[in-house]
Amino acid sequence: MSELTLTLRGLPTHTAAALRSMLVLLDSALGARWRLMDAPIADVILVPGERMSEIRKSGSDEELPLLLALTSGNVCPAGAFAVLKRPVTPAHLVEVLQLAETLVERARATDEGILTVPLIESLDPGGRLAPESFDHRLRTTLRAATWRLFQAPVAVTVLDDRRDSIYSFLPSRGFTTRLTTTELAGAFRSNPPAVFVELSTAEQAAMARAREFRNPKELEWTFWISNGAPRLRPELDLVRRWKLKRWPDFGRLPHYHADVRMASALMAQALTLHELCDVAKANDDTAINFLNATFTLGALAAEATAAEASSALRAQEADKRAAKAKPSRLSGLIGQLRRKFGLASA
Amino acid sequence: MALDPRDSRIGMQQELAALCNKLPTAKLAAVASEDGLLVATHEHAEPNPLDRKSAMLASLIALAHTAAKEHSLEEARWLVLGCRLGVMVVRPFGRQRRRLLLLVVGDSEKLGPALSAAKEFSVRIDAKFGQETAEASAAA
Amino acid sequence: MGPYRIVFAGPIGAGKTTAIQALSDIPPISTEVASVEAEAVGKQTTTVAFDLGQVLLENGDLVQLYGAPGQARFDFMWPMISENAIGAVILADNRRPDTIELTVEYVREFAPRITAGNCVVGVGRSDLHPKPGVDAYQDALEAEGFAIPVMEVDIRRKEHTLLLLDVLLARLEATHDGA
Repeated sequence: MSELTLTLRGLPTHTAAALRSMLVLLDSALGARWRLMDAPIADVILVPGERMSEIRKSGSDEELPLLLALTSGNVCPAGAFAVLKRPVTPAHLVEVLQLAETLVERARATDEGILTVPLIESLDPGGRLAPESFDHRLRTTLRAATWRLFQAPVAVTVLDDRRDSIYSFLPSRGFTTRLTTTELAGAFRSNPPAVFVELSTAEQAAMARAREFRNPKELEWTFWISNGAPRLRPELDLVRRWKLKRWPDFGRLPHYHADVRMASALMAQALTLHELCDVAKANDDTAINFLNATFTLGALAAEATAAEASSALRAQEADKRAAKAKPSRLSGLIGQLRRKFGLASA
Repeated sequence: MALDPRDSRIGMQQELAALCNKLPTAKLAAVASEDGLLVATHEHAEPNPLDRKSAMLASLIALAHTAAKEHSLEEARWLVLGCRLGVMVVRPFGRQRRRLLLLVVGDSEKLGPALSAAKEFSVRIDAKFGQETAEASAAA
Repeated sequence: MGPYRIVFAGPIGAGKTTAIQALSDIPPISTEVASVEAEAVGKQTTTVAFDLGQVLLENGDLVQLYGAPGQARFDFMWPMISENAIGAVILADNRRPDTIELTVEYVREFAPRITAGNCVVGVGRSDLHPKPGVDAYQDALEAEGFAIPVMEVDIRRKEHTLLLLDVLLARLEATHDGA
């Protein structure tokens, strides 16, 4: 576990001594993670509220170092991330320092490049994260943690920065989550800081008994379909035409509206990424996510050979001529039905 | 003693046969359930359960009821299909009118007698089978 | 123009009436009667002609929603209500041991009569009866030459009925270059 540091500045001697004693007593409650320093700078600086103006700090209230104001009132002075109100109680001190812990870790995560792992470049040839970034309790982001899991499945719980579980995974059973499908997709899209915690044998057994598990492919799909900064998987490219072999089960899988249109387009004909964007009126990011996700399901196939491509193209042109020869009675109907039922075309 | 359903169907078949005998141009007399299962015909007490004519009958009467309600006429009592080669007469009868009498006559000029015969049949059957069934239920 | 038509088909108790009610602007017309076979089929009533709902569009066009009778003896109704329909929703009931065979049969019956074979299959009651899975349905349909969307739905949830409609519309767009 990495340590968090606290220093006291500008406090009367007796106040400082009382706080030192309190911190020693609360060591176990704080997870033995806080060290009181005798130095001007630390992760958290505790300062009397009336002397806050003496501390010059650049950056926001949530950037390091964090300033904690010791005051008699409830008003939080400018520059402080929180208030520690006199008389200081152990419970309040623990609460404030746990809040500080979250903010410190978040600030550190953005500073230390290995904790925010870009999706593809971070992998070594074996498909694992750089070894020095991985320890028993890996602090990383949700997407990086999940990517690591896909490469080497282990029994794990992935927590958010409030220590709430985002999902748990047992290789023999699948994954389980307290989140709704939409919430899980949203989490993958926002890619928050996360903690990757391997489960003991006893924890695995308890979890296997208590929870309902879902197909791991659903987790993979969610991972790929909800990428806020997508890049095409190395197995795919911009040049080849891709066709869907079967429809994804949108009844179970999270999806965006454009995914239904793209599925329909790719079932009807083989398309490159850019052709898919044109036909399905989707933007590049959405189309990349869709191709990545359907590839994960094994539902995407490249157009095989030039001869087949040519034959497929002739069939497509024939279909288009036939479709256009049909009466135009459907023009307008589809748009009207979409508007009526809120099935937006965008 | 509970009424044996088979006895009931034999009785029904006999009644339907008698109905056809009254109408020289009658081609078919049958009874079906309102959900389209054939109960008996004038020829058979154990008709083919896969007979689709009864299903069609049920559809027709259900649509007739629906149309009648649309016109605030409550339920349909008669359905008459005049065809080039004859007439089909349909009359719901029985408890809650859940039985359907179908009478097919090969002469469209004989609509009047067909309607009378159908009405007379259903009133008599309501009285005969309905009364027995009530007694059987009480004794069981 | 119109009226246009969308058909809902499937075995008795699959949720056709529920789906139509979720979309219809009017209380659907029903031709349900008491079922003599209630115990055998697990439902007290059965549709003997069709259910009919309507969707009125802002330009005055009408879309009729037809619920086909589920029992095989009423299959003479199926061609009548599905001819020239723009789409068909086939609802499957995963409680049934013969659900895949039945679904393939419904698709075989309805797809040829629907514009561009535009069908979608919604598999119900998978929460308590997870098998057969969607893949098994798709395998069976593909073996018959049908590449049709199959998805698990709970037809009591309106958003799932709308998903099925969304997929039908997307397929229409793909074959008719949108609207």
